[in-house]
Amino acid sequence: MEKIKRLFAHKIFKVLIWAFLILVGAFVVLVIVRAFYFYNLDKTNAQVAKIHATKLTLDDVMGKNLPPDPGAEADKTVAGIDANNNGIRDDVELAVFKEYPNSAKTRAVLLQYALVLQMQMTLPIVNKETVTATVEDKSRANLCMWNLIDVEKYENFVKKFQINTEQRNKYLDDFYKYMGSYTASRQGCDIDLSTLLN
Amino acid sequence: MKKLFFIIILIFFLIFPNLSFATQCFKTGYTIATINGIFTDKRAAEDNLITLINEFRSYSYNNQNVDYQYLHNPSHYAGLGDLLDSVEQGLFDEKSDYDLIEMLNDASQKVTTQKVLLVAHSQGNFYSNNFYDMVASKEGGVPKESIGMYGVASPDDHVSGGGQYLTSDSDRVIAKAVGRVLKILTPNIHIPLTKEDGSGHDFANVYLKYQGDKIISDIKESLNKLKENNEQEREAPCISPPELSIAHKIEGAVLFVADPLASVTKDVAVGAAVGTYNIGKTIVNTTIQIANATASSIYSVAKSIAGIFGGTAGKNSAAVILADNEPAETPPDTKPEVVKENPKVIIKTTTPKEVVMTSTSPTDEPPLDVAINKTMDAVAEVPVLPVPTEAVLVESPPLAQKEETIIIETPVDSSDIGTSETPIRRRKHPDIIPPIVTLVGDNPITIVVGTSYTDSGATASDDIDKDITANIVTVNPVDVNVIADYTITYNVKDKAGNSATEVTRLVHVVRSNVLYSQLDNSTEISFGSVSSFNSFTGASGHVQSIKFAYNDYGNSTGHFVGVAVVDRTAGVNYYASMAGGECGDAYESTGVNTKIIVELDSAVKYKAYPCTGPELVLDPTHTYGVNLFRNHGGENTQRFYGSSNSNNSIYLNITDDTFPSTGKSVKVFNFLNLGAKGIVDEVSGNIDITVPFGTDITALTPSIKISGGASISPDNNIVQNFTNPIIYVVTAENGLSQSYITTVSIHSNVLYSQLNNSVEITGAGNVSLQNVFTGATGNISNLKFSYNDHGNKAGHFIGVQITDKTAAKGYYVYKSGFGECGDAYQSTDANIPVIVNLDETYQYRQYPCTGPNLVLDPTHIYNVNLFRNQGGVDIQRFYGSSNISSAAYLHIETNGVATQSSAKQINTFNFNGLSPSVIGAIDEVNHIVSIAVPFGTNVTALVPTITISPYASISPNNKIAQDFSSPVAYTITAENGSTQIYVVMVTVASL
Repeated sequence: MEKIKRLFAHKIFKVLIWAFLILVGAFVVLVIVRAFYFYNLDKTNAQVAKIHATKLTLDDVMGKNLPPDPGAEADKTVAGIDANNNGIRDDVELAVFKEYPNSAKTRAVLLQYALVLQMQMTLPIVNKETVTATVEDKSRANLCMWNLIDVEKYENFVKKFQINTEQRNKYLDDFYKYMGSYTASRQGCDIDLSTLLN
Repeated sequence: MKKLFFIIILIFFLIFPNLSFATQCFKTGYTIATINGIFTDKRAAEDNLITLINEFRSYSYNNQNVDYQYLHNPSHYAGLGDLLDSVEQGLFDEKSDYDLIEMLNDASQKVTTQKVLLVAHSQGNFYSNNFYDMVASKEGGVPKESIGMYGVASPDDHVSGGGQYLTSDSDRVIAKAVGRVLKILTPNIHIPLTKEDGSGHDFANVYLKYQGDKIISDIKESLNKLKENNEQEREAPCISPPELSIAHKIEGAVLFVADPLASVTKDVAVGAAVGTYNIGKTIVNTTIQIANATASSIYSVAKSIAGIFGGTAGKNSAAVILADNEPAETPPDTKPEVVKENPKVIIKTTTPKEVVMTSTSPTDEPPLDVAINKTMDAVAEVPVLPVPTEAVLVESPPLAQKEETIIIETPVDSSDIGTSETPIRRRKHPDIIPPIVTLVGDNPITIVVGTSYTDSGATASDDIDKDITANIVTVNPVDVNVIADYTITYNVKDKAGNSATEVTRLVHVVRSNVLYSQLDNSTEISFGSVSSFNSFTGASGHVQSIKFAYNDYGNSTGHFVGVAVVDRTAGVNYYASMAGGECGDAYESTGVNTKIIVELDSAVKYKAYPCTGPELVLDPTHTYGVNLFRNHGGENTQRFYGSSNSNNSIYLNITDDTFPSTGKSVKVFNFLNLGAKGIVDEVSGNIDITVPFGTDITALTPSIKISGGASISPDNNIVQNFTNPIIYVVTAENGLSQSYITTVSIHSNVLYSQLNNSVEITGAGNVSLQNVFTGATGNISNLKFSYNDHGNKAGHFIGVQITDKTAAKGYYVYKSGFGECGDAYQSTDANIPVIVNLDETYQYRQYPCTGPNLVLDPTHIYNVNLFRNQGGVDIQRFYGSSNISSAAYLHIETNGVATQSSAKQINTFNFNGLSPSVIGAIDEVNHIVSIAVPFGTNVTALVPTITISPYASISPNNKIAQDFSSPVAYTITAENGSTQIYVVMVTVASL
C-alpha cells in the first residue's frame, strides 16, 4: 500500500496524470466541436444545393432588371450592393453592360463569372463543403469562358471590377483556406449562348 | 454496458467525419489530378488547375471524357508542418503521412475513371510518387497500366511509373536550392526568366506560361500510355478508401485544432506549433511502430503456424492498399499478394534516403552556379557558364540519363527549403498581367482640315503598378493640314515589361462641311424676313444642319419661325419640315425676350412646298441661298440677329452631310401620352424622366429623337419595362456609340410642398395662397400646415378651404361628426407651432358640406385659404416655417395624379463660400432676397447656394458666380411652367 502511495506521489506519475487530463480535455473540446459540425450539417447541405442551383438568368443577360448605380456604397463592404438581388454586384453588373452593351453573349459569359465570384463573397456559411462547391461552380464559369477567345482577358476584366479592393482580395485569401479537393465541372454556360442573337 | 457502447458510437461519429466514396468506376475516360506543392495556397492551387484546364482547352481526349481534379495537399501549422514533411520526404524517403492518406481518401471519393494521371508540382511530387507507389497495382488500387504520373518542378529523384517530368534549370527552388541538398531529376528544360517570374518555380505563372504547349503535349503522351483494365469493377470505387487508423485520426484531431491556431497566431506560435507537431508526430509514429512491431510479431507467428499447417502463408496477406510494411525495394511491377477480407492502409516508417555528401571543407565548395551548371550540362540548349578553375565537377551524365548525383559538403539544413527568402510559395499576384490602355475621348474622330487638333490621349493602368499613364508611348502622325485618315497608337509597358495591347484612334481629317458661316455680324436685322442670297454653291449631299440666332422679343408663344433653303439656280424653295409639323414650321418661338440660338439638326428635312416630296439633294452646280422668316401669326415682329452679345455666336451656319456624322446624342426623350419630358445629360450619359404619380411604368413607350444619321437600341417607340434603368445605345453614322442609362422616376403625389419657409405670416385669422397647384386629378388625400394658437383658449376652429380658382368655387374641409362645415380642426390652446395633419379621412365640400367630396380637375387652378373660423378676438398665426426641421408650412397630396407642381419658391439663398457663410432673408410677399455680406467682400463674383421648390428649376443656375454689385434677378420655373422672379439684393456691411 505504501508502495502504491509512493507511486502516486511520484513526479512522473503526476506528469502522466496531467497529460491524461489534458488529453481528456482536448477530447471533450473535439466532441463539442464535432457536435456543432453535425448540427450545421443540414444547413451546409442546403447551402451547397443552393450554390449549385444558382444560375444566371436570361433576364440578367438582357438587362431587364438593371440596378441603379450604387455609387460609393459599392465598395464599402466586401459584399457591396446588389439592389436587384440577382446575385451579381451592381457595380460589376453595370460595368459589364456598359462595356458590352451590344453583345449579349459576352455579357452572359462575364455575368456568370461575376455571379460566382460574388457568391464567394456573400456566402452565408463558409466551410469546406460550401467553399469547395463555389470553386466547382467557378470552374463551370471558367468553362463558359471558353466561348470567348481570350479567356484571360475576359476573366481579368471581371476580376478587375469584382476584386477591386484590398478588403475583397484579403477576404478571398481567407475564403480559399477552406477549399478542399474537387472535380472541375463539366457543365458550361448557364445560358445557351446559341439562343442569343448578338 | 449498452449505454457505454452507445456513447462510444456517438462520440466516434461526432469526432470523425462521414465518408462517401465514388461508387462507379468507368473504363472509358481519364482523370487528370493535380497535387500542389508546399506553401502553394489554395487560391493559387485553384489557379494552377484552371490554368492547366485552359491550356488543355478540352474536356475530352481520344474521344473520351477528361475529368480534372484537384487533390488537396493541405498546409499545416501555418506552413511549418509542410516544411518538416518536405524534409522527411526528401531526406528520409518518408512514404506516408497524414496528408497522403487524406489525398487517398479524397481520390477514393472523386476518381470515377480507371485511367488516372497524377500531375504534381513541386513538393506534390513526393506525395504523387508515394500515392502512385501505394495505389499502383495494389489491391483496392489501380493497375499500374491505368495510372501514370507527370512531374513538374520535382524535388524528388524519380517519377513513379516511369512518368515524364519537366524541371527548368532556371528554377531557383528546385534546380538551385533543393538540388544542392537532394538528388533531384536532371533539369530538362531551360526557361528564360524575367524579373517578374520570381523564383521561376510557379506552376501556372512560369511552367504553364512558358512551356504550356510542352506540358500539354507531355500530358497527352502520358494519357496515351494509360490502358483500360478488367480488374477494377464498374460498381466499385476506382480507388478503395484507405482505412483510417486511430493514429491518423488522432493526428487529424490535433491538426484540426492546431492548424487554425497556428494560422491565426502564426508569428507568435511558430515555436509552439513546431513543438506540438514534433511531439504529436513522435507519439503517433512511436505508437505506429509499436503497433507495427506487435502486429509484425503476431503476423510472423501466424505465418509460421500457417506454414506449418499448409505452407501457404504470404499468398493472401495484402490489403486494399497494402496493409503493412512493404519493402521499399519492392519492384513496382511486383503484384502484391492480397487478403481481401482485411483491407487497411499501409503506414510506412521512414527510412533514410541516399544523400551523397562529402567531407570537403566549406572553402572547397563549388559556387552554386557551378554546381547547377553541372546539372544544366544535361540540357542541350543550356549555355555553359564560366567555371572557376578550382572547382571540382562531377562528370555530366548523358542527356538521357535521368538521375544525377550532386556532391555537396554541407549538411542538410531545412532552412534551405521554403524560407521566406526562398520563394517557394507562389506569389498571389505575380505580374504577368499586362497593363490596360484606355482611350480618352471619342474614336474615331473627324476633324476639319486646317483646324487644330488636340489629342485627348489615353490612360494606362496596371494591376501591380497602378496608374502608369505617364509612361504611355504615343505615336501621333496627324497632320491637320492634309486631308487623310490617320491612326494614332498608344502603348505602354509595366515595370515587369508586360506590354499592353496596343490601342489606336482613327482620325479622319476631312474637308469642312460648313457651306456657309457668318459669325459676329455686326448688324442686327430687325424685320420679319431675312434672305441670305447666294450663300453657297458646289455642295453635294443633304443640308445637315442650319443654325441661326433669333429673338422673339417677348411675343407670345406659338409663332413659327420658318426656314427655307432656296435653290436659286432651279428657282425652287425647300422648306424646313419635321414630322408632325406643317411645311416650313420647323421651329416654334418661345415668347422669351432674349436671343436664342436655334439649331435645326439633321432630323429636319428640306422639301419643296407642300413638303410631301423627297428631301432636297444638293446639286454642286447650283447656287443656294437661305430664307429666315416668321411663318404666320399675329402682328409681332421677330428679329434674326446678325450678331450677339456672346463671342462667336452664330448668325447663320449651314453644313452638309457629305461625311459620316459623329452625332450620337439623344435629343429628346419623352413619354408623349404622359406629358413627361426627360432630362438628358450628355456628359454623364444619364436620362432622367419623371412620370406622374400612379403611372404604371412596367410598360411605357418612349418617344426618342436622336442625332441625324444615328441609330438607337432598343428601338424608339418600343414598349419597355422601366422598373429599373434601361440602357439605350445610340450609334452614330460613323460607328461611334454612346450609352444612355435611362431612369424613370414616379412623381410623388405631392401637389404642393413648401418647407422651411423663413417668413412667418401673421394674418388676422386669414391666409390666402394663390395658384397653389394645377394639373391634378383625384381627391386631396393629405393636407398639412403649421399653426400657432398663441395661447388662446382652446375651441377655436381653424378652417381650411380649397378654392377652385378656375370655376370660382370654394370647398371647405369637412369630416363627418366633427362639427360644422369648415370646422375640421380645433385649436389646442398652445403657444407653440403645431403641425396640423388632415389625412384622408377629411374631405373638401362646398358649403354647407352636404355634397360630394371635391374631385380635382387637371385643367383647373386651385388656391388654398387658411383661416380662423369662429370665436373671440384672438389671432392665430399660420407659420411659414417652424422650429421643427423639415416641418411643413403647407403640404398637399392627392390620391390621384399630380402631374405638374406649381411650386416655385426660393427656400434658401446663402453664400456658403464666405467665412462665416452668409444667409439671405427671403421676402415671400415681394419676392426679394436680402443678404448682407461683411465689409470688404468683393461682390462682383459671389457664388450663391440656393435651394428651391421640388421639381422647379432656376435661372441663372445655382452655384454660378454672379456680379451682385447690382440686383440680380433669378427666375424660378415651376414644374408646370409657371415662373416667379426673385430679386436678390446684396449689401456690403459698413466698417
